[in-house]
Amino acid sequence: MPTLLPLAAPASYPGLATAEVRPTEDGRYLLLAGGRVFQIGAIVYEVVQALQAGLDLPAACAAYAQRHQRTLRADDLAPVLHKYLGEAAGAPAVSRTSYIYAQVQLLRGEVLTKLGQPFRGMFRPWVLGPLLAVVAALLGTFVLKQGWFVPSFHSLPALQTTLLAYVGLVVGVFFHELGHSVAALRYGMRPKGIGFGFYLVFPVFFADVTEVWALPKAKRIVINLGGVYFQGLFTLLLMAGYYALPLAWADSRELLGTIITMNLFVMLYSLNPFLRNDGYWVYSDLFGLPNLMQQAFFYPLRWLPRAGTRPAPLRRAELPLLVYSVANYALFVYLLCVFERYSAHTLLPRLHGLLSAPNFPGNLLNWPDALFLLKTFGLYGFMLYMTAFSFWRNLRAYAKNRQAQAAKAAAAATPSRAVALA
Amino acid sequence: MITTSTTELTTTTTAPALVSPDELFVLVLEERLELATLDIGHDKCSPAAIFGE
Repeated sequence: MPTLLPLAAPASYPGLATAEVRPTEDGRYLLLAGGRVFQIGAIVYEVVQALQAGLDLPAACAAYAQRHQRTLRADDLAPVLHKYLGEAAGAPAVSRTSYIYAQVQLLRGEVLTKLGQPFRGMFRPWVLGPLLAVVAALLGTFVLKQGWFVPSFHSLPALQTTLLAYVGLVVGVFFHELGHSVAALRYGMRPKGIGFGFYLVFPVFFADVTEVWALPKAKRIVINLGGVYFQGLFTLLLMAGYYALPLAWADSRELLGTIITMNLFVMLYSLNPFLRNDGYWVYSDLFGLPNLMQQAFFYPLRWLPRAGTRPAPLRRAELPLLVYSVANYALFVYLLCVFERYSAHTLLPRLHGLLSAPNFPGNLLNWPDALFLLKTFGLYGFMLYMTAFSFWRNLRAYAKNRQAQAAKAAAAATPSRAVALA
Repeated sequence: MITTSTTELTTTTTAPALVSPDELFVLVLEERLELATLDIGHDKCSPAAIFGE
């Protein structure tokens, strides 16, 4: 038998008691620990199960070796388990920073589960397909017939109308998140709740459905689209209200039309594959590209020559990642151009005007100007902070990735220490 | 004259394959927060503004 080092007892993996390992319907293995999901290989899966059954690490490795006639070194496995099962107890090995910050939970998972149960039937194939077709057809007809409403609010007091329009949008977006959660429930997953927070500069509602990594891709895609489906149903109800209102109630019709338009626009925007909208998850799931944002960010490095060797030729299978990566960088450059244009045409001239006015700095106390400065510099500062923050995070992830790769390469170069069976 | 020869018997044992550290991979999957935005600048980015109506 191979010599195995006496290693840490299971108590060294504080996350073990609460960690969950499970095979997925499509032949992968997942480890759920500390609110995070890890994709693991069959070997780690088997060993964690043995540890949970009460074996210590050397015994679990020995059991594996006996069952599969392969030598499994505990000192290879120990750091992996320490890192990921230790993390569940709060060790900082794996960063848990969320890309949505200032999160506030609006609905807990348990409440959501109770609330969503009655709606699960909406995702039966014979309900989902026809209903989705009806939603798309009717909303499309609405736009063709009524046109897009401009939220101008000229006929009603602006503040009141704006507030009402946003209430309509908030309810629609809440239905959107309910849709994701109900779809997750339909496939036996536990949604973790609905919350509010900020993604980049956008205020957002979000549904935490991290557990759905355990599902095969077709079901994940249904969950990704469940939000637009539910928001579409809500918008359809508004549309019925719009046509039910008498023509004479022009203001109410305009308000309702505006709410419908805002919801439609958010639905369309959600389908775009950038900035982690629903379309992002559809693209990621459809082409089997987990951690798409990170992969796309580092993809260009693949074309750099390393240690004098030329990069490998393009494989057909990596086309979706290539396309996404190029498009993602193009979008970034486009947004920079828009920002630059805004700065040059609007922001800087006005700022210049303010600073060179004869009554400067007294003119800054004029409240519209003060508000303008506050908003502009607040936004600039915030965007600068977000860009630097996101760059720093990606860089850190990249450094970790490189470190892991170096460790792997070093391990592969070490001569085998397998002991021959006599 | 009798010549005797001795043959050395060599036995080989097969070492079991060593599990490579690559097989012990753990991929940290990103959290799945399905989000919907509440404001994308509806006054400036309204469909009407974009589609020019």
